[in-house]
Amino acid sequence: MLDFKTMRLFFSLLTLAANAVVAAGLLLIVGARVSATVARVRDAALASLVGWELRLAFLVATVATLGSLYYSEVVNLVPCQYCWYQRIAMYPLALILGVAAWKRDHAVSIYVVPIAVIGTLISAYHYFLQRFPRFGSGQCSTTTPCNAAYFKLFGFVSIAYQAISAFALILLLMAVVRATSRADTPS
Amino acid sequence: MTRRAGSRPPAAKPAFPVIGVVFVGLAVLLALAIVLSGGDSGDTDDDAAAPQITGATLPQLPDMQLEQPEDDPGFGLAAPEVTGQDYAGNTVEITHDGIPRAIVFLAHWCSVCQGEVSEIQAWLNDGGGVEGVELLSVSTWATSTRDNYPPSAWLERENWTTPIIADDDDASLLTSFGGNGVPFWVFLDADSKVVFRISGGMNAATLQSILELLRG
Repeated sequence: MLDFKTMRLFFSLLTLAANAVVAAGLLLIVGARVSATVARVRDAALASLVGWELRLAFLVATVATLGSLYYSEVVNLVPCQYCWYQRIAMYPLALILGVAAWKRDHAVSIYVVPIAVIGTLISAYHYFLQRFPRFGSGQCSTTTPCNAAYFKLFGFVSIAYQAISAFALILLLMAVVRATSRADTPS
Repeated sequence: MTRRAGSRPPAAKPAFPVIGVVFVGLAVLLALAIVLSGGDSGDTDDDAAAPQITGATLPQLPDMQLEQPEDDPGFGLAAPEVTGQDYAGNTVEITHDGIPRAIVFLAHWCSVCQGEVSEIQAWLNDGGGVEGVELLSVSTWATSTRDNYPPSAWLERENWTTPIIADDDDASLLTSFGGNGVPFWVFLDADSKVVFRISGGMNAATLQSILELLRG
């Protein structure tokens, strides 16, 4: 029942859900600057997330890490060079965010944001190569080509895209961490 | 005073059950994935007999850019002879029969190959090609874990008119012609000797001029 087809669809649906959350978050951040109503919605959203931001970021990093391990260790999809770079960025986030969620250490965002930004940039470049393979070597290595996606569900959701989405959601949650920390800090 | 890292502020009571929403969301998405992937995807394994290869394996094409075709260690060597099948079970051969050939090795999951197939087919539809020079394709490195599987469905969608030889699971045909990536082009003269090999995409104009050179 939980075969590769099902799991990759599950991770792809999670990716779309993450995209929706990030899009909504960005709309709230931008909209709150111009609309008092949107600012109230943003504040309500922030209030409801207080105490959960780090745990949610930990959950995102953990699911991304487990998903990556599922692809390589269960389904035996060999990670390419850029996949490894993304793993280098994502795996420590699961640990760092886990400890931070346990300790409720909101200062962790200062460590998480640079790693997640680097991960996003690498994933974005990897995804670019998959969309425009001739910009890379112009061929597909028969071993572990970075410019050939193992799959592209819905025509665009590849593993690199899933990684971009996870990093972006973690960055959004770090923005929430900073916002709630500021609100929490007496002036 | 600002809160120090590591301190434990009292957790505020959330306005709504965040964790409940998250886990219900995960469960719904998992259920959706199970339901949506449960049906028949229409994917079927391609079934073609493994190609029979005779003759010496060509040396692997070096990774580096070659200045001249003569720098290729396979230049001037006779290509192996092949008897294989396409996905309809028809026999397709590469023999030393005096016909110059251009052979392109393609993989269904390779985006460069996908672009190559579209471009070459458009070129053929516009009257591309050279009389007396045979264009052949080899579908190699097929795997159901990768995108765009099965290759037969992909090539049918593209209305690919070039004869196809299906490679085996070990990509023996690609290896025997010295390929280390796809797309991989091998050009053979009338004596079935290697004139030129290249790994990577090739535009239609270049292909046309190489085919004209092969015809002599």
